[in-house]
Amino acid sequence: MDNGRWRLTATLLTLALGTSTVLAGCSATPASPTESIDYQQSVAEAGSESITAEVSVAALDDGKVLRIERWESPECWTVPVSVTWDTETSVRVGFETEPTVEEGSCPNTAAWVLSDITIDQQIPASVDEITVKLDGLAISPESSEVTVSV
Amino acid sequence: MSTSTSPWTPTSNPPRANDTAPFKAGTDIRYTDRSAGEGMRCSSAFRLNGNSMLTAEHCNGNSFKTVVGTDVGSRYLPLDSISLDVMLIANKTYSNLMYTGGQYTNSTISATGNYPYYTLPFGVQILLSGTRSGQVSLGYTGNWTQFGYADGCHNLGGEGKRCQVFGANADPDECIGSDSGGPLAVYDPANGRVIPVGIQSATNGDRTDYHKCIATRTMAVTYAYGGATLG
Repeated sequence: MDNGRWRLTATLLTLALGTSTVLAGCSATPASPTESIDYQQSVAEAGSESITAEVSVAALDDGKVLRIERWESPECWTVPVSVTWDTETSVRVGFETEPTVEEGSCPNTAAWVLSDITIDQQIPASVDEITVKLDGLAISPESSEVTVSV
Repeated sequence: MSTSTSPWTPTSNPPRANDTAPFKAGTDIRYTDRSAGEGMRCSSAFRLNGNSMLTAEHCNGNSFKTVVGTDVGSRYLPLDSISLDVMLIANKTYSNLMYTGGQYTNSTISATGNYPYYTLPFGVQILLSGTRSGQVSLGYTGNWTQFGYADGCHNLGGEGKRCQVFGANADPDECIGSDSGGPLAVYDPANGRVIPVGIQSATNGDRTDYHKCIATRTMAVTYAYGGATLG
């Protein structure tokens, strides 16, 4: 498994996901070409600090980076493909399964995976917290909307 | 930095994460993967021959602990060399009980016997009791075969060919990462128990949508271990 940090540009995402190709059960739908996602994703070396949490969201670097952590199968994890601001205090982050396994099934182990997403929209200084809505992650519906202080 | 977690996250360790010997099927087991590193997570399955416990072979560690660090046992007799995604955890004591209910409940039921999978009709209910999904109902769909592979075989991504597997339909966000190694069983109402039928291995399709849950048949496993007894 590749533990290295990955950085994709919108161009690469468009090339990778724009074909709607179904690869061994891993379906990929087109990402909006207008959305630019700059992120790094890796497996946490020591697993989750929280024993039972399904997802953890944090604002880093004065709100310029969103860190989203969750349990994922590292062989076929999901990656962020869209960041959409509904309002200036509510952001929606979409994930899709990355078809890294071209032919085969996905082993159902799990690792605590970190995604650091650079936010391209400046959060106003007057905003104390934002709501992060998560789409496309295998987590319970109750966990899909998290409020984060910035 | 400010961090928020799910607002409904329990503050105490759930029983599956805090099991003690004799360890049960459906326990949350952590290990250091020999290639992926620390903090990896799987589930345990049924007791075998009264002295070991099944899990998936691709839970690729040498030793296993609960979330709070209790020693669950060590890797024993992996069957990947004969294309089965199964191995044993040994050197501790193990129970014939299987966790039931959700991810955070402590209810259990006896899990004994070995269900003849070939008698299961399409669509019959199968229970999965994984540490991530908790107890969920799946719909049995028979042999799972990947195109280009022999009947009942597929390419377990990153691991190679694995065989003697069946498929079951799963709802979104059920049968997902960390359920690997967990028990699949059929309810036996006449005897108030469940009968083992599979060991969770993989998924096919988008796990946030309706997808296939893939498991190794327990009958193939006991055959490989020389007519072993489950439960």
